[in-house]
Amino acid sequence: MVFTNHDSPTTESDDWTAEQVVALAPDPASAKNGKGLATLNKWSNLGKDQQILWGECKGSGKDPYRTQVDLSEPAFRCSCPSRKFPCKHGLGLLFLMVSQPTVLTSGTPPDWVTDWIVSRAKREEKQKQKLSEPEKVVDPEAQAKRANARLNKVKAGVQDLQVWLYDLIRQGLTSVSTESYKFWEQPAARMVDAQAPSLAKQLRDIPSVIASGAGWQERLLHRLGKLHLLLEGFQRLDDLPMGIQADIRTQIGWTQNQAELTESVTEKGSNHLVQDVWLVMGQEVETEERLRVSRTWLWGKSSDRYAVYLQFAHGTQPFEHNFMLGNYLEAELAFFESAYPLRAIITNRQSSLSSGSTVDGIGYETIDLAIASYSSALVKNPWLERFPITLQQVIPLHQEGKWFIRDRDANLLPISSQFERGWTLLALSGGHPITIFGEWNGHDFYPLSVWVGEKFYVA
Amino acid sequence: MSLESSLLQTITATALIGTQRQPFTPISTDGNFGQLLANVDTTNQEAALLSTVAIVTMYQQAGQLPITNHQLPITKPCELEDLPRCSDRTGYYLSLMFNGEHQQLLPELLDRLADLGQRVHETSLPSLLDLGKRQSDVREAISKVLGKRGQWLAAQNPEWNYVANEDESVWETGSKAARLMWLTKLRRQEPDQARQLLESTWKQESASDRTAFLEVLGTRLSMADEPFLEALLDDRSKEVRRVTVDLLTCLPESRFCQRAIARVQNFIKLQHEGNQQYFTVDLPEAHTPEMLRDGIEAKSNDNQNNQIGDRASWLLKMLTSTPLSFWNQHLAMSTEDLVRTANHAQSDRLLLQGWIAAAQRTGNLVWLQALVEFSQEEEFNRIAGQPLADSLILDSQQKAAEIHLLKNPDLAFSNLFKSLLFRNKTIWNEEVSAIVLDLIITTLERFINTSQLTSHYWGVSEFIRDAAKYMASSEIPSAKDKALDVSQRLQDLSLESENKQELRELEYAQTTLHKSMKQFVDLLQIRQEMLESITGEGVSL
Repeated sequence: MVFTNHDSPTTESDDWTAEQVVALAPDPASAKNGKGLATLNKWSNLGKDQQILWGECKGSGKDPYRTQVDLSEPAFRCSCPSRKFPCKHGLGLLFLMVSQPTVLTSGTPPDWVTDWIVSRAKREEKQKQKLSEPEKVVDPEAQAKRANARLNKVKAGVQDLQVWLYDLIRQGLTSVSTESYKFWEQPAARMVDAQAPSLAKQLRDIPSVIASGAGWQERLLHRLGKLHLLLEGFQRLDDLPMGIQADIRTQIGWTQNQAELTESVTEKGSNHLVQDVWLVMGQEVETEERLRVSRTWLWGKSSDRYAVYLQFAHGTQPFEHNFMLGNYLEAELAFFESAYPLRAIITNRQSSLSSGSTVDGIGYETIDLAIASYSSALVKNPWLERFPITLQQVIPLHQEGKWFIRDRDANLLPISSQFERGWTLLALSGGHPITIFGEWNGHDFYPLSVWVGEKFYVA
Repeated sequence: MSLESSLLQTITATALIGTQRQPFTPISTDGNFGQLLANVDTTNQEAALLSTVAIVTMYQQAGQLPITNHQLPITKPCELEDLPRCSDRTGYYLSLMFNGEHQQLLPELLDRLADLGQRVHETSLPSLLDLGKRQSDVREAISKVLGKRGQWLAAQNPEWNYVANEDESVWETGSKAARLMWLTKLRRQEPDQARQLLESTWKQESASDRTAFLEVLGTRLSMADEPFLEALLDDRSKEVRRVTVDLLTCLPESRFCQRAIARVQNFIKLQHEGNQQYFTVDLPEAHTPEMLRDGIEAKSNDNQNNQIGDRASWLLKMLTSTPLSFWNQHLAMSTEDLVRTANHAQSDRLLLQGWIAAAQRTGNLVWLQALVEFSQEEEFNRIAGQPLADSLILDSQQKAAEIHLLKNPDLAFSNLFKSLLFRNKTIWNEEVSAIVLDLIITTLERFINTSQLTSHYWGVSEFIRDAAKYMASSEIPSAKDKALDVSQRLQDLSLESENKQELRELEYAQTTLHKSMKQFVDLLQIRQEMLESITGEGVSL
């Protein structure tokens, strides 16, 4: 069932830390404002019932805002007019729960809370129905026609790009360092017209490679080689296995929508559907222009595999789903077609389970094993951008301003220079082995989560 | 260099020049790798080059091995046994403060943790250590709550070098901040040892460091310091001499004070006329090098006393350096009698001025109390307007005098009053908290009942906001209740006045005071919640 099962072991408020609440905030300002509201002065009629918390928060208006949180997802609702989600009141209520758990005493929820619980259950039921009944194809013929038109457009674009690329190699790369970004923008714009947006993005990324300092020539050539591989692969798409076809299509810019995925899963059977108890390993939110992209990494306890759940939101709009980092979640996932499937959607979310379970058995104790697993993934999908790695029994260390992870064999994994919390990692470890989860891009590692013993921390 | 790297270099060279000028030569090598490369279609040179690049880089990427470095120095792991960790709730309040919220409560939080022998959470350490880097006044408190983990961490980052090891080597090798902290701590525990340590390196210290270190001797000052200080009256630095004079002034048995007594006693005369007594003064005739050595400048450049001549200023300086107890002994009179006599209409005001300065300089509250009680407006204002030295330490007699001064309604909100309350930045005891609470409530009640304030409203509201920081924790619940009550009445108050301008000002005062009372209650609430998070007590609604 979709709706939270109150009888199952559930997330207790004791398990929450302020860090986890911060991770739910849409932006740092909301987190800060939420923290400011975590004082009894601001609240009245506080209470909780199992997973549901509620309270009335004094605002600038005459009537207090009615704020409620369902910890199981967690989900939020508040009567305030804020466009941010969750709003500062919802976060404030969670911060209050973290800082003063005893003030939320169990009680019977008032009507406004019960109404919400019922409406959520209805909505989720509806959504589930929607998900299981694929969108009706209005006119299969017209759709096939559109798809074909796009394919032809992309084919023409890819051919043009190949010619352009050969010209570039013929004339030599020496001069490109002095070219302006327009030099790359031109073919990129052509790819947008050809409905191959991911190719456009790859071209637009190139100026930053050229500007990346000594050794840029080899790095540029590396990029161009991979791009060439992609274009070549596309030319003989039909001869390739399904997984690689899907990866190439993704790299060109086709998106698989969720309805299609559900449909194809139903057709192809269960090997794309995985029911498991998933540990929410870590989360990263990136902003591209106004679009926020959230990656939530999950690891399946029985299946011993990773999944990444992507969510997109414009500006300060909320992400649809929230996750309790470091907790287990019982759910059924559908993986997107790929030679090395990682991306998945949640087709059936059941309950959150109490954390405190160990992370034993996840990942590796040595860096060479982790890198070997990356290599085998790369062999399957050469365009793999981020690879999830969990390292057990490792220590962080710093050398001349750079941070590394070291295993017991004195192997070192360089930490990304973008990562700013090296000292926090070191403080948590104290020179003793810890467990670290993060993303590896083939060059450096970006830590997302840490376990010290059984305790989870956002890195 | 590996095969792939050298191959890649060759191909890159070709790609840079362009296949137009340097044709691409297909690569042949052994093994699977070679076979893979041999499969590259060479009909199109450019495509062949790019395919080769793709194969080589993929080969390289898939075959990469981790860097291994056995030589890399590994810091010894931190010892595991440590102080108990503070609660997550306390950690939460700390994180608020790192975000700039309620930062004013940080010293109390840290002190309270240190009192109970708790340390902060590991995740708080980097932010806390960074905070200490910017804010030197909390460094000592910070170093007490770091635990072994924090000490271990700080030792690895030069920016956190103010955290000193718990041994004397810091005096030889530490940063100025770390040395100052060490000296202060040592002085509190072993005052003689601290002075000897300072003496041992005195000659090597720079002038500015000397002044800073010397000021530390104000803590637990005793006659054992006198020989060192007496010698410093000849120091080259004017600042060092100024601090030395201030310190010696607080040592009545010092040669410095004895010289002041010897100089001054002939200039002050107690006159008897019937049953009337009053003081007359003679002014010194000449300025001597010995006077200069004792900090008496030839020219009166004290702005406060610019209305008196040079000779009067010499006498005033001598009076300031003369121990007040001398007058009791010398004239066999009580402090009260002395102050009364000095206030006699025929007495020279210079003597009162000197006594006030001496009492302020040495922080003698017993004398200040007598001076406040028996003096007239001019002298009273002189006392009320002058804050006391931060370093003032009170014995029981002094504490009684302090309470007396705090209870004096005419001193309320004065500089003296505020410095008595705020100088140490420490939490008040219950008695002082009750006095302050009472003052706040009565002041606001007077405003509610009479629309009048004894002091300017923004001064009062600033005071109210500051007071919330230092209320004794046991007084917080009752302070909150009383404050809420008066705050409500303040809000409900409807002001009346014929004069529009006056009404506007009164309304503004009402709003400002009400706002500060709200902040007062809010801060007390946060403090209560914060302190309960440390002691683990529950909160009741």
